[in-house]
Amino acid sequence: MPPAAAHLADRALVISDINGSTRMSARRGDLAVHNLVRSFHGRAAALALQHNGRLLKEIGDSFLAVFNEAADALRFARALPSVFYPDDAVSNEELSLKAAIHFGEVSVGETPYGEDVFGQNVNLVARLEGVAGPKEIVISEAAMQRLSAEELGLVNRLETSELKGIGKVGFGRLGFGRMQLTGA
Amino acid sequence: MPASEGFPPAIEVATEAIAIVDIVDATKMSNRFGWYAVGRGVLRDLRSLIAQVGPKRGLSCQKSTGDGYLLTFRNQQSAELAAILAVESIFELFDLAVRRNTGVPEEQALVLRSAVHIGEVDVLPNDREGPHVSFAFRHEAISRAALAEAINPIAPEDLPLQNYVLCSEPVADILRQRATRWTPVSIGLFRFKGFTGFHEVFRVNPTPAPPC
Repeated sequence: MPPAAAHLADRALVISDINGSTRMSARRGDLAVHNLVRSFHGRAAALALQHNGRLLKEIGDSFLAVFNEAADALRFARALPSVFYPDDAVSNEELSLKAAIHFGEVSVGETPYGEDVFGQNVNLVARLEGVAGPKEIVISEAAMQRLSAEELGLVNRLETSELKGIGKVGFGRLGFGRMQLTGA
Repeated sequence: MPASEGFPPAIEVATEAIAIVDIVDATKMSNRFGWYAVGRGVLRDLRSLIAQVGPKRGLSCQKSTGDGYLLTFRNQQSAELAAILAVESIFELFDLAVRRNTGVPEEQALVLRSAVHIGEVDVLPNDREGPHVSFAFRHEAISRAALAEAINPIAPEDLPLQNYVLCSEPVADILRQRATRWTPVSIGLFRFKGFTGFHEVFRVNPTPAPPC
């Protein structure tokens, strides 16, 4: 339930996840993964600011970032590989990013742990992230409608999927701007 | 040589409802008041209460976890019914614990929390193994602090500190479709260590009686 002082606003939401981190934890230990994730999220937070957004919260290996515009969210998501460079100790591990982007009305409010966003659209982007494959961005139809023709050209054909608790959702897929693991 | 020689015996796999019952602040209680003075008696009373509520509802395994018990429930007719009976058992357990606590010194109070999931488990003598058991424990471990790392979380103060039941998505689906006495209410989408993707977690609330 959103806090009492919450207000409604249209926001672009990005959820990103690191594929392969569970396997890496088993091989390298939790500390190595923890350090990798923390440093990546720190750089992603700075990148979000450069794209007029904010990294709102970390959820394990994932994070949730918010933007006013879907185009900013897309540019941010596509640039994520540029700040995802595992150090030499893990450069040979099979890690990859994936992300989901959605645009819609959310409830924005202050909580004891800082600002947060609430509502069905937040659930939607989290469920949509489950559709993304490794090294892939999925973007909802609602977010695609906010993009320019040039940006839309990056997105593959529209698909639909039944998302748990949400219903049928249209989305497209695209790759990241550059492949990750630049440190490898 | 018998054909089976040299091979481990086949392990039975069953679909069971998995309930984790934990004594809230058990470690703190034992540290402050002593395991032999207080902790052991509280755990013994919990075991006694489980014996009152579980067997009549298909309790098939009761394994100590130190601060509580791993319980599983099985129903030959319907695995879904096992989940409902598990939830029913836990709520009756809470009621019995509240009654037991009446007149008991505060430090000896039996205060519980629980999580219920359903899935396939490896059946071992008086124990259960498998990812669904781990998944149930991940639910039970959710605290107010964990809400800060959830998607669409409830306010921390809306998660009680005691006598609450959390359940997984499959159990919530079963309760919605087949039980009218309880209503699952989402508390957020969580990520669990060792499990991919987001998992919605629900608090099970007794459904208010309709107005007469």
